[in-house]
Amino acid sequence: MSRRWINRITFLFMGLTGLACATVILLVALILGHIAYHGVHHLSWEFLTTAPRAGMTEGGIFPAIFGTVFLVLLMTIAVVPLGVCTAVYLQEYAPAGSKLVHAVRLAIQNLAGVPAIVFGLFGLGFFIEFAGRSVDRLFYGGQLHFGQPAILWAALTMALLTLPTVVVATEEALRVVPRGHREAAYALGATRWQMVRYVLLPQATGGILTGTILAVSRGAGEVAPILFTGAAYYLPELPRRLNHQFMELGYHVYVMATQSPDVDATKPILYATVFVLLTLTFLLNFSAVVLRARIRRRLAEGR
Amino acid sequence: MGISYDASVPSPADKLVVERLRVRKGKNAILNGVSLTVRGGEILALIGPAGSGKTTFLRCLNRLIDLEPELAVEGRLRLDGLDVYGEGVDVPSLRRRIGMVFAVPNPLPMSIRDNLTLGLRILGAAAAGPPSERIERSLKAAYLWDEVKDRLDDSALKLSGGQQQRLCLARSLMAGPELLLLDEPCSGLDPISTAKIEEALQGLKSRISVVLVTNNVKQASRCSDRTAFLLMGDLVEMGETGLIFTNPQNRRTADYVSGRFG
Ligand SMILES: Nc1ncnc2c1ncn2[C@@H]1O[C@H](COP(=O)(O)OP(=O)(O)OP(=O)(O)O)[C@@H](O)[C@H]1O
Ligand SMILES: [Mg+2]
Repeated sequence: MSRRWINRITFLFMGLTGLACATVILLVALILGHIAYHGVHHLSWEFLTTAPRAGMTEGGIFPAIFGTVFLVLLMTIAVVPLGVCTAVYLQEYAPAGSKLVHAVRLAIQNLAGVPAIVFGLFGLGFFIEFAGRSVDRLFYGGQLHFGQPAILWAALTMALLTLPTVVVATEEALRVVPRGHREAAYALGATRWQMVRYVLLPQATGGILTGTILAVSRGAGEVAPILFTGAAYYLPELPRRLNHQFMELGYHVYVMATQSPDVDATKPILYATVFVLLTLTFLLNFSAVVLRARIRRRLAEGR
Repeated sequence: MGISYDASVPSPADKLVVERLRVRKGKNAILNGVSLTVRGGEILALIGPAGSGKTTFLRCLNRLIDLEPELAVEGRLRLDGLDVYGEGVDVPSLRRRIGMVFAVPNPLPMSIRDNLTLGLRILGAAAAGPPSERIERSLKAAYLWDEVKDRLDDSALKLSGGQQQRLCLARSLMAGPELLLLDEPCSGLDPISTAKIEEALQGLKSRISVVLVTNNVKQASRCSDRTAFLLMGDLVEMGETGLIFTNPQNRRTADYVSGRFG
């Protein structure tokens, strides 16, 4: 091929790849811009701190923000210990090449591919119908306390959904700890747990935090898993107990978009709610990125 | 076919007695029945070409080889009469009696002080005593004190390679080990750091037995009391360092120490 042709092809590919990038950026900007344009002017302190009124055509979204935060908090409490322990077991305790490890890894990979709505159905069947009912039968003489949709069950369902994120991030963080660091601790007389505790976990903190924040931002955005397990259309009161139902931002958006009695009146509220939800998840993702960079730097400096 | 140095009658001066140590991976033998003793307060140099099993031998002594379950270890090791591979041996407390320095310096990504006190923290604070005295003593013994005494809370990773290796030496001395294992501790270091480590070993040896693996024959002749020559998993010859270098009994030893192969 002549030089001129090669140059032309190079130019063509550069153009195409550049175009692809531009499209992505444009799309993101379009979505954000559209939402910001329609939503920002409706934002106010009142909007963020009051409850909806008049069939959701007026008022704010405070209960939904509160419910979202409560939900992801519970979810984090459930998913981080479980995920970290799973990852530590897989990386450090399980014998190399064992069938069990293979099975658990496969299960986690598959878990990551399961559609969110299936988690919702699973939560309904397992947590509410089975676990909740059992709790009621054992402790409340069959009275209905936990055998119904509740923030606890929604959080546990969400924890299952985000488990792979935490496990994979932690495993990755453990894997990059050099063998020499492990051996240094063992040679000093550390037991396996002490090695994990004094050498691995401090170095994996960054990875664990990153995984946690990604899990939280995912959990804050998903609606399907909480659809049947605890989210409510409208509640006059905030949830105060683990077996209360709750309002949630994503679900609130869904409700307003599909079941509003007055579509035109809800529209600005809808946009503003979406804007809040997106800001929240973006902030979380962004802080994950910053955190990871900072902890990498700190580790490299060994402080 | 390794020559066996009579190890069946341990004398009180023997710190460690190794009898017919064999290490296999499947059918491949890595060590073919090595028998030797390490005396109290001596520096024993272990020399041999790459792949002869020096590191493997060393890792058997503190059972770090347990981390590689694919390797089968046979034979008997006694540390002051304790059967190292006996049933019910508490491996962590065995390892606390034995210090180890690796070929590649492996300070942990924390401060110099935290590196040094790691072993004490593992033991639990109660058993630690005042750590600052121990820190000073260990760093002085490793010839590092003057260089780091004002910056104990700096990152250990900011030290030079030679300083890092001496920090690892100091770290292994914190618990007051009886036996010190060094795997080519100077392989990547400059002559000055090497000299400092060699000096440190001389200072230590009256109290501690040292097994020094080295790929540097001159280092073995400079600083060891006895030398063992390992070749393809066999102990070819072992004796007073002076004799091994001036009057080796085996032709392969003679060839190796004079630099004709390896
Ligand atoms: N975990 C293992 N699995 C398989 N083979 C191994 C393992 N560990 C060591 N070996 C083999 O055993 C032999 C001896 O290795 P070892 O590391 O003890 O040699 P060395 O004398 O320390 O060599 P060097 O001077 O290069 O450090 C080598 O052939 C090596 O490939
Ligand atoms: Mg080696």
